[in-house]
Amino acid sequence: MFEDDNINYGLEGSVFNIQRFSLNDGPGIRTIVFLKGCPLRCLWCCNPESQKLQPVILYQAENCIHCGSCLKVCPVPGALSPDNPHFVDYDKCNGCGECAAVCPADALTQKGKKMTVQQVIREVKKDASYYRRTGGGLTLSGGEPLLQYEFSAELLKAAKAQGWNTAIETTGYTTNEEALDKVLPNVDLALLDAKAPDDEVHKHFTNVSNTVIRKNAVRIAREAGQTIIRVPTIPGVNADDHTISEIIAYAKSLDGVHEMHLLPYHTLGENKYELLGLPYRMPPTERPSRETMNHFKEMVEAAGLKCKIGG
Amino acid sequence: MGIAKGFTEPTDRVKRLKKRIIDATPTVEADRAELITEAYRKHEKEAPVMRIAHANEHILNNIPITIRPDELIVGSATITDRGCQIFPEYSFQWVADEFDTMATRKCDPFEIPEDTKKRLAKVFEYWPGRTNSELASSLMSDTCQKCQDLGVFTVGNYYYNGIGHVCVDYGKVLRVGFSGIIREAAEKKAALDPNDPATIKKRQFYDAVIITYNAAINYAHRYAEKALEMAKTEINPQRQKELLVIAQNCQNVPEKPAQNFWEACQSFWFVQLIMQIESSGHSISPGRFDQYMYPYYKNDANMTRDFAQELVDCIFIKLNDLNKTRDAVSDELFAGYAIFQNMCAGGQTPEGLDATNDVSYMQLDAIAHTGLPQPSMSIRYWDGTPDEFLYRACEVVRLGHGLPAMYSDEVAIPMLENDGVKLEDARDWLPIGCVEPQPQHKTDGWHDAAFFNCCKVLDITMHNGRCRGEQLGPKTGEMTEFKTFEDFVSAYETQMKFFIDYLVEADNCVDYAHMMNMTLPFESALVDGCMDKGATVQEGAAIYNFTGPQAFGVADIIDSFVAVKKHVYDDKDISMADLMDAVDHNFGYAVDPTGAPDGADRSQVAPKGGSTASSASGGRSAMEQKIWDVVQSVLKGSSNVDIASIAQSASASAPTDSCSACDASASDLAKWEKIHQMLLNSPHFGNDIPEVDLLGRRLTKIYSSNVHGKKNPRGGIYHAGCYTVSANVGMGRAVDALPDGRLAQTALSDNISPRHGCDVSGPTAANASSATIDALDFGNGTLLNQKLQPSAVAGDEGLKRFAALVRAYFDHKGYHIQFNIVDRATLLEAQKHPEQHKDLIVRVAGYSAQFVVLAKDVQDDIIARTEQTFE
Repeated sequence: MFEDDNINYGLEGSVFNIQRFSLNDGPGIRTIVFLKGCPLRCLWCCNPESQKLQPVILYQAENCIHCGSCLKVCPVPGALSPDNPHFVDYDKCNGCGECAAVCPADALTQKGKKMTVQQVIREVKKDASYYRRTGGGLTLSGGEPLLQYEFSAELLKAAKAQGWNTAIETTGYTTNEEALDKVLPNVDLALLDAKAPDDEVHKHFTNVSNTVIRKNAVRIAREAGQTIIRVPTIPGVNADDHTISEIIAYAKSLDGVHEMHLLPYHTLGENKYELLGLPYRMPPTERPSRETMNHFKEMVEAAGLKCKIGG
Repeated sequence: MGIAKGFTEPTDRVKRLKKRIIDATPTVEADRAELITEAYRKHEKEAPVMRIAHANEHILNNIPITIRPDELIVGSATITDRGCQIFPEYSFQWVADEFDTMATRKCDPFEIPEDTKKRLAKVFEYWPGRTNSELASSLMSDTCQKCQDLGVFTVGNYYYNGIGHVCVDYGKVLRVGFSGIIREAAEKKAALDPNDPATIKKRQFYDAVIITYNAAINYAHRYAEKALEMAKTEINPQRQKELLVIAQNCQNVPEKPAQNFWEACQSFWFVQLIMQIESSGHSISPGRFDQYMYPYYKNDANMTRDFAQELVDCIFIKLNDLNKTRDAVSDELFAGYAIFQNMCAGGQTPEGLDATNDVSYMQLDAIAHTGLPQPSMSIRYWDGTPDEFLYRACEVVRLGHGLPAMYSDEVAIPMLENDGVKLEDARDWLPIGCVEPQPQHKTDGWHDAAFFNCCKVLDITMHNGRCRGEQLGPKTGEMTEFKTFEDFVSAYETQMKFFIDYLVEADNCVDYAHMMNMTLPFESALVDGCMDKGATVQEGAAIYNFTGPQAFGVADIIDSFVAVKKHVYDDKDISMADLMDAVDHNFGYAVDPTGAPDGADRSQVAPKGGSTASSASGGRSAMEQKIWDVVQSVLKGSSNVDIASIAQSASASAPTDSCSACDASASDLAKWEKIHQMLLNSPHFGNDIPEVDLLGRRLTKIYSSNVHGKKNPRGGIYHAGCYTVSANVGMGRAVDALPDGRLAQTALSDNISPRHGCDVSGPTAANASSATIDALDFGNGTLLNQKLQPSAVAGDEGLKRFAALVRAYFDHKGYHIQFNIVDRATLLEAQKHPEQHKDLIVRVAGYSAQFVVLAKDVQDDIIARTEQTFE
């Protein structure tokens, strides 16, 4: 890393996970940096710990050895107590992480920590030889990487300076044009979500309107190196022929989009809600069958787009 | 056409031959033991090399022979499929002791028919006081013996068996035949100077070679006669034709040079077989099969590729027909009927050019066709390895047989040069046995010289040189006396040096015993240097001589030191006295050597006065419940709690009647468990954390640098290895609790892999950590296991990724990597229904075994090895 390459390596952002050896989020072997904060509240969200920009505390009861260490250090009265139904009272907890720091048994963990661009890049660099061998690189995910856009922009620039491939996984939601101005020039691949074409449905399931997303999508498709539309395929939301056709038409309307990924609904994130003391508000939903997924794939391909099930 | 090429079906013959191996019940036979005893009785007074030559002669002339249905390559050490012979000249007592248990023991059971027991019992009357192990024992000091009894190290492999671990000159036999070797011995004998006193000894050697190789030719001719005789009564005309060719082949080779590919295959096989009749040493490694076989394929105008493939498939199956029984303890260390015949493909020529040829690819296809544990198939990788070859190897690994293992020339060649091997010889290297590199047919590597239990030495260091109360090592200070972390490291180094010296003594005693007693003429004539010097391999006549003892438990060592450094010296959140108190009480857990290997599912014992019944409920210890109750009561209305007062209150409220499980109070148990959890959640080796890994590099070098350069009796040096086979399970029982949170007597970490379940940052991080261990300093080899899910490597994308994973690991200067492509569910299912999973092969540290024949705890260990997920 050079001092004069015009990258602000000292800039801080909030990161909740760095996952190496990721294979389904862009070409080759990649490292995903998960950023905190998302303006959407998708009911099926599998990373609920990412939603708030502030750090959050996860409590895993089965790891707890009841040593009491956390109770001694918590600065907020009542935030931790065996009398709380979930031990952690999230209305009181400020996410400071004092308890997680002393927990010997990994029962309390803090999600979200401040890292500088330099610290993140140093971690991502550990797999540089794999990027070199496979054309892989860095993927920013979240949360929504357009939220901490300045931090995202510096990370992507720094990755380009290393010669790595760069990707973002985005909802496409931002009301700030500057975010797109700064981020998109350094994106080789945008993996852009498309959830529900009907705005009422979109609002119901994600808590935001899709109008601004549709608007941003035009810019993303035009300005990112390549854009792939990703559809979390969810019965009751979009997993029907009519809706899928609409999404296909939408994808085709975007300049430079030639590929679509269908991600079958799963509930792998469900138990995280419990650890966060949150209700899982997604109504019970079946995982779409392999046949259904293949059928949608055929529809996408028939429309002249490349298609993959899974990332 | 994509990258993946797919595989053809094996022929029906190959399928039938494979089925015989899978269905066989390994059985002990008595013939060899009887014949060698007769020969020894008769030739007792002669020099050892002549005694063994006469024994070879008597055995090869008289041992019963058989040609099995469908075989194209013939020659078997036993009448029963996959049976074994006994080698009483090395040791016999354990066989006699296990007469009634060998058929039912948990690792590698063998049937011994009643009649065989009687015959062997009679044979064994001769051997007391005459075995090689007794000679070796007589050379060892008491302390040296004691170190082994207490589990610091074991040299049991060569103590009770032959050495093996060699790649002999198969190519020479193909070129000149056994008759050429006899001629060479006769010429050399004739040229001896009668006035040179050394001539007396050399003459014995050449005579021994001539006697042995004449008998070996006769042995092949017996098969020729057998095949002719069978052809006479054979009613299937196709089989009759085959038998006639077999008869002709065995008449021609190995006596004469091979004239075509089939003869070359047959000639190869006789060498492989006789090597394992002469001695019980395992890891007789065929080595660079593609290099010495290719000319016979290329020049054989009548040979089709399909038939050549079938012959190679037949050889692969024959390699599973050879078997070996060991004592029950050794068998736990080498579980899986493993005889480690390592066969290699690819790499570079002595001139440094790409060596891959058609036979290299046939070897890979033979794995797909046979899918059996033997041979231990390896490929040599280097920067010049063709993509096509690496992709094909990955495609084979993807089938889930655990083969081939992959090795890097970029590390092996400089590593051998660092040990004094010439460049062109280093380029002609191959892995022996598990992973041990040697230049082919020039080396007596003595590779599996010992397993050295680093964790036992740590245990002893933590107790000022005491081993479970008894002073065994030097007094290097109590843990509480160490002012700095460096004091602790330095005490460990002192103890390591002390025990390494005894390890070297033990190995050298065994080495001397073989030199004095077990000089092998058949092997020696095929190792460069011996014919020129007129002496055997065992006397140091090979070009290169090494001794390679293995360290194991390195990840436990690293994690233990890291935990002590962090908690006692850096963060100071555990006092050394408290840490030792917790360790010495096994953190309050019951000692259960038969339990889960990682100790994950167990609970602490019930506290003094606690109810034992409640301790078993729900996986939660009674202590925990009690503490929790107290916490609840104390906490009412207060967030300022003193844990000591809780614990006191807990023990005060406990009834006073004693508990049979242990005398610990609830407060002790709570304290120990907190310490236990803190240790378990310390940073771990295997996550690419530079501070941890660099400390690991330094700690592992304490072993390698103190072993490297020590002298062996054959004029060579010691060099270290780091792999475990399955010793980490058996020898884990000798080790009490460790500061990394590992419970007493449970399994230790394997090879240079991270501890099970501790590499939570994915395979690239685990690889990076393992590559931090200086492979170049471990001249006897290091080994990394990795388990991958089938879905991860599916499709051409997966194949490319897989190849990249291999190349990138080698970019980091890793020496060896091998992959298990199996899912956990399959293994659990196989444990439950072994009869349905006979063909499930898993790599166990350097070799493959049928999963279902492994002992339960070795199976558990494999299941626990971290499954790297590709989601």
